[in-house]
Amino acid sequence: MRIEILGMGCPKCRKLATNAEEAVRQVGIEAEVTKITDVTEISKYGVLFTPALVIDGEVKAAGKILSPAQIAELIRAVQS
Amino acid sequence: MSECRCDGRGVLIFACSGASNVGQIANEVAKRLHSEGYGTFSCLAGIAGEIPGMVASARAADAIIVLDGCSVACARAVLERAGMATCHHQVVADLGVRKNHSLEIDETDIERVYEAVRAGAPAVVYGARSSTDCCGCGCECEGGCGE
Repeated sequence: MRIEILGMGCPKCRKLATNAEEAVRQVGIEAEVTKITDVTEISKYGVLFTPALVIDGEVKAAGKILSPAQIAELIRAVQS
Repeated sequence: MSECRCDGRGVLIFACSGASNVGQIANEVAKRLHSEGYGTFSCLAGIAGEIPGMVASARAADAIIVLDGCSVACARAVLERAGMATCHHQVVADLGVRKNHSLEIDETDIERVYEAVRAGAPAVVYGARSSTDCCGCGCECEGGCGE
């Protein structure tokens, strides 16, 4: 599974990345959490608000810091 | 998007931009609101096309302003179908502009609709951030907002 965090590197973006890593541990899957900070790359996803969470290429949330539990739920939904 | 948008606040503006005088007035008013910093003009087509990033962003907006040209209200219908509540909805034709299928529009009509929207829409101004609530990510608001 591929998880991407869209954001320019501010504390909120870093918090979402930390929460995503925690969610991956909770679910117990192998997944790479990547931060995308380049504005041009972020724009390709169509998001207007960051930080945003992308799982396997699809934006799942934007403008929110999801908790590890919320991200874990999204991961499980993608898995099923 | 050319700056950090992690402050979690924002007004999104959608216009039907339809193929009529009133649709084009809605488009011009949305452009003016955007250029004056009142909100971010966003792509209605992205919502209709169910582009995940655009839908997720609209769901995260603090407020949504929808400008429709006529009472068919296509823009509002698109947003409602996507499950989004509209904070402020303005129909151009309700302000006395008679709909026709000419794309030539009158500046005085644009001004009238613009003033009506400004008077009735939520008083949330995107971009009016102080340096003390900046996220510190290099977005030109000089750091400090933290989490």
